[in-house]
Amino acid sequence: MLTMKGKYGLKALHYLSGIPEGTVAQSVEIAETYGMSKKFLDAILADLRNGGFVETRKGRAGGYRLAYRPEEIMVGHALRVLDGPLAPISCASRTAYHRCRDCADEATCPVRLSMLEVREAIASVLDTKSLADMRSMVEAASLEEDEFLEIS
Amino acid sequence: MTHHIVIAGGGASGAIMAANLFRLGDGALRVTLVEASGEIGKGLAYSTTNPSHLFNVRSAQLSAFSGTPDHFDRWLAIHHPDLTRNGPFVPRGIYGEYLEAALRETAPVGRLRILPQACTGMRELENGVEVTLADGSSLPAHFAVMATGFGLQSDGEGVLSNPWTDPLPVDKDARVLIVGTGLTMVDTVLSLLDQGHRGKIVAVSRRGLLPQRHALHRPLQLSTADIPLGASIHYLSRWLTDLVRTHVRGGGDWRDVMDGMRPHIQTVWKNLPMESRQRFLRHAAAFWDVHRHRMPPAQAERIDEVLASGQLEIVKGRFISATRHGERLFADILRPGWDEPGPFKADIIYDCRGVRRRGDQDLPGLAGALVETGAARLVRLGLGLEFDRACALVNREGEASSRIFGIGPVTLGTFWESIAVPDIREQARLIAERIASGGRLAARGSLARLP
Repeated sequence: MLTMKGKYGLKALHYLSGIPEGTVAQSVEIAETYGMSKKFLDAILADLRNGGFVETRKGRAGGYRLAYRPEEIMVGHALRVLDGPLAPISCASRTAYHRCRDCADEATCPVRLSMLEVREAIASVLDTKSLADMRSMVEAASLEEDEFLEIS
Repeated sequence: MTHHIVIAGGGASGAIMAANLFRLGDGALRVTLVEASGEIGKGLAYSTTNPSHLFNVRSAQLSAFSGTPDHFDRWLAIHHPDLTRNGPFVPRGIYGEYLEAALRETAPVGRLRILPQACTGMRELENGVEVTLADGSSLPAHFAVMATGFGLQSDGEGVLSNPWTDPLPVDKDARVLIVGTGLTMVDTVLSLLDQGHRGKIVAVSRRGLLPQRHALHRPLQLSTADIPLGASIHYLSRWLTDLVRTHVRGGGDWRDVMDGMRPHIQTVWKNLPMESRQRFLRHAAAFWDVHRHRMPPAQAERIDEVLASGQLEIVKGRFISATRHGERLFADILRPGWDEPGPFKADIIYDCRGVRRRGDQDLPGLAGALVETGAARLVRLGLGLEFDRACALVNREGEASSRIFGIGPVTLGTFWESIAVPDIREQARLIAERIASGGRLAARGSLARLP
């Protein structure tokens, strides 16, 4: 399930994919850009670092940067580190499994069976979408928005 | 149009490839299996005739066709009903016979040719592949498949004996040293015991880890959506140990988790960052392998017996080299905590080190020749040849061939895990379907996408 943490984490990665190579970004500037709490963001960045997706540089000129090129980091991969298994409902995962409280028979539950398929679809979309792909989506969308503004 | 496909290597991988080509193709094809020994389905793993040498996977997983999972079990029930009484782990020696039967069943008369020759080269042309043979002649083909196996050098160091081809010691009291403590060591010890060996057997490896044993088969149903792909090895191994801990706490067995991971291993490896792969090879591969490639219980019991009696001893240490002084052999072994290697006396030394290659060795045979001509290249860590996700050979420039493919252990360097029959038959299906469609890549039909 996409939590706040997942959303903020992806936004932070998006930010880091846009800074010039060889530079770092401080968490405070990312937090300000998206209006998040810095404390929460620091915890998120720590998780991403733990998963190997971002690196830190210590000291006064310190900050965060991506561990690999934006083409090499898949959105789905980062999301698993932030939110756990890709699953729209928790009974659809073996590893972060929780049974629904009102569940009578899980094996034949129509919702669960459908969601098992949905998670494979989520994985096939997000595991082939890199941070670079995400950037181009954003760029294409903002171009469209600009055009729209000019026409109106 | 009738396609002609040349398969280099007639071991299990080559035979499974041929059978799948016939079964999945439209019938309009001819296959030539180039196999120096002239024997089909009996490569490194399956040429053994010792009934103590068992498969380390269950018979239910050994069908040559992914579309017919019980194909092997049905054949077994008809031709070797006695073997099925001893549980799901059957002797490996019968697999060649099964694969021959599978080929007879699928190959139309006159469409399969077995050429007792060695394949020395492959050259991609505009409309096909020119396959060269050891006698200097060449075969024109539309497609070629490399099924050359592990590509282990036959005799590396002269002093070391090859457990698969060299005879067992005549002297039943000979002192035997085995380099390696994996499943090949287990097979070698069982061979020695079968012929009544009484002498001491010492097996040495850096960590001295023995393969774990099999138990009930209840794989955890994992999806790629569950597994932290792309994360560092540090993160991945912690995730795996946490998962095992939770599963065991819930009454499960760690093997269920390992077996649940099995279908995803190629995907995990492909997405593992390069430094993480290196780290894994250095620190974790040995631990992974003993949990992943396990002993059937019948073998484990016999190994336990000789360990208890002291006839077999496992020693931690790094094998450096071996020399011959008269009748005796001396192995230099660096034990943990020692500054210098100490000599170890033996009458015979078997080389049972793993099948995984390291980058510092030259590739022998066909693989080496292809690297030399630029038709192939090594993967970045030098573990073996590079193939794309659809098993097509990648050349020096990084382009995937549309006509030359690889199947089985020859692709190990790329996929990490492509030894077991379930992986090999899946590769065979993929390649056969691609060839049937005239070499075009079926949409989304890559190994990485399989459940």
